[in-house]
Amino acid sequence: MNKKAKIFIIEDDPDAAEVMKVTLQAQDYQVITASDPQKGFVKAKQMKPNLIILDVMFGKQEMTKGFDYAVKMKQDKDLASVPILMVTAVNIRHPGFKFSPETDAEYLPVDDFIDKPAQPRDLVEKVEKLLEQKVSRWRAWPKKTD
Amino acid sequence: MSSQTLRYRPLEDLRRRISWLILLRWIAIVGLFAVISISRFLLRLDLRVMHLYFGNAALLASNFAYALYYRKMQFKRANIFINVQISLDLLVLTYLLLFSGGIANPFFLFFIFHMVIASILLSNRAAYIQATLAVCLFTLLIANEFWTFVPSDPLFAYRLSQRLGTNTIYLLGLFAAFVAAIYFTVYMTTSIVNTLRRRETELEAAIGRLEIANTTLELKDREKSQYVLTVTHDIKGSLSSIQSCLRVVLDGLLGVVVEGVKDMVGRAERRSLSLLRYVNELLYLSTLRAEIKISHKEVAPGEIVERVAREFSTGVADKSIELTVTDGTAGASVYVDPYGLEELCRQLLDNALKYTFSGGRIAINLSLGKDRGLLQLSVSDTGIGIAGEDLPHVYEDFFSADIPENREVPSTGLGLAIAIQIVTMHRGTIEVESTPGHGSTFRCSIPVGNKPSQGGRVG
Repeated sequence: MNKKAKIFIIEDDPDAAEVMKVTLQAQDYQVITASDPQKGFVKAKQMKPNLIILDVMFGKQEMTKGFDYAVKMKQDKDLASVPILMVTAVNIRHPGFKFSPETDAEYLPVDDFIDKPAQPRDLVEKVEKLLEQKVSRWRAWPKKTD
Repeated sequence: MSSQTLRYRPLEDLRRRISWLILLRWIAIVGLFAVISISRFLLRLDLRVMHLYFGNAALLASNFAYALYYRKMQFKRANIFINVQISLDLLVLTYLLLFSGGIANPFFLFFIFHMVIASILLSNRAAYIQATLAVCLFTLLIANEFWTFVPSDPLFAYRLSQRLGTNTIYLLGLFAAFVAAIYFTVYMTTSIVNTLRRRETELEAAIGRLEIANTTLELKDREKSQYVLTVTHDIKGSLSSIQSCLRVVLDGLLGVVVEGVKDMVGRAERRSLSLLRYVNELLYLSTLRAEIKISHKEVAPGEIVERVAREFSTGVADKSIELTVTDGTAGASVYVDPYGLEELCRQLLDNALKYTFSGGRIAINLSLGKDRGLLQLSVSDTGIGIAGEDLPHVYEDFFSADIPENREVPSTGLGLAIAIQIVTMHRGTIEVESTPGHGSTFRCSIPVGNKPSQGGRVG
């Protein structure tokens, strides 16, 4: 297993980002974080990570900004093949926005979801799975490629 | 129902009335042709048949013209158009009577229903003007009895009119009765029509008010959603970060944790997790209550139930509980709110798991009613059960039976309130049966369509 993999976390909550960083560093991963999605996008293009962990909600007004950035990444030639793990606070148990990974995933070019608060065991498991997969299923978005 | 279908459209309405008038005239033309032909050729009445056929043809030609013009009619011309039609109809009627015995011909009664039509289609003023035109034309017919512009020979009425023509009292009486009948007809019909029109206007205003109310409601709903989202982001975001930070410590990712520290941090972590769950349920319940519509989607209920049951597999295994799922729907699809059904199932199962002792049993049963219009979900357990006096209160917010066993069970007291809210939004029913010490069974019946409902409204 590639323990030196580079993981890029884009998350505006510094504490949530730190928790994920510590959890993944404990597994010997190389972790870089960004709190702003636009800056994160630019930085990700330079860093060429093996995996991107992307939050959905950035601030109260931008509850689906993460969706937009997921699409933007799939349309970028440098990032299209990088798998995305999306951190969701918006599913059935999180009212106000009826998005459910179970039913709506096909409209979103992300490879997996993880619910907030991300539990270490769950996070590590999903990260390992996506790193083994290596290439995003959505590298040819909007077409699913596997 | 959408506002589009409710909206009253005056142009559509007017168009419908005009096409009705044209249709009536087609019937009249056929009828007139039949009456002339039967009178002349079957009854062998000595009619001036060519004049009458000419009148019939004029009516036919005019109606063709009306039908053509109707297609490209402009809204502002519609009233003039109806006025012209009725006036010309009155002229044709007078012409036909003139050549078929004048006032001796009982068909002069047809003036009356022209007035009814005018009163329905026109403004009151226009209807009275048409009535006056009818009276003028009738006066012309009476005058013809005296001065005979058109000789009413050799009709069946000839003898009659000979006598009538000299009977001034009768003619005056006939005139008076005719005038009264005409104006009364217009008066009575317009009264009724006015009432109806007023109701129409009121209805239109009511629809307008409803639309405004609906928009306000939607706005309020959005505001509420925004509020909920803000709370979601602020409180839940913080709570989940607290929980994650503590979890990282507990998992020893930052180094070995001494036993006493681990215990305290563990308590804090568990409390933050249960608080997170509490906030989630509270928010979910208030969103459900703020919701006006539920969205039905095609789902296989069996899959949803299986999925929820899998979520609980760890909890079930921890307490060595035997969980059985019996799916009697044979993979059938129904239209329900998928999120609602999932959450309903989750809450009932969570409730059963909480109150069932280790080694107990939980059974989930899913079936479609006989006519496949009802989805039936039941969750039975062999848990502590619910006392009779508590049964009516189990669906209340924050309810928790005051028994010693309960103090051990962490509960938000919102699970069943969420369950009944979901069932109610589907216009379904939920009932509970319980024997204290032996267990409880919750049964839900949810009406399901085979087609998506157009957003079932919840009153």
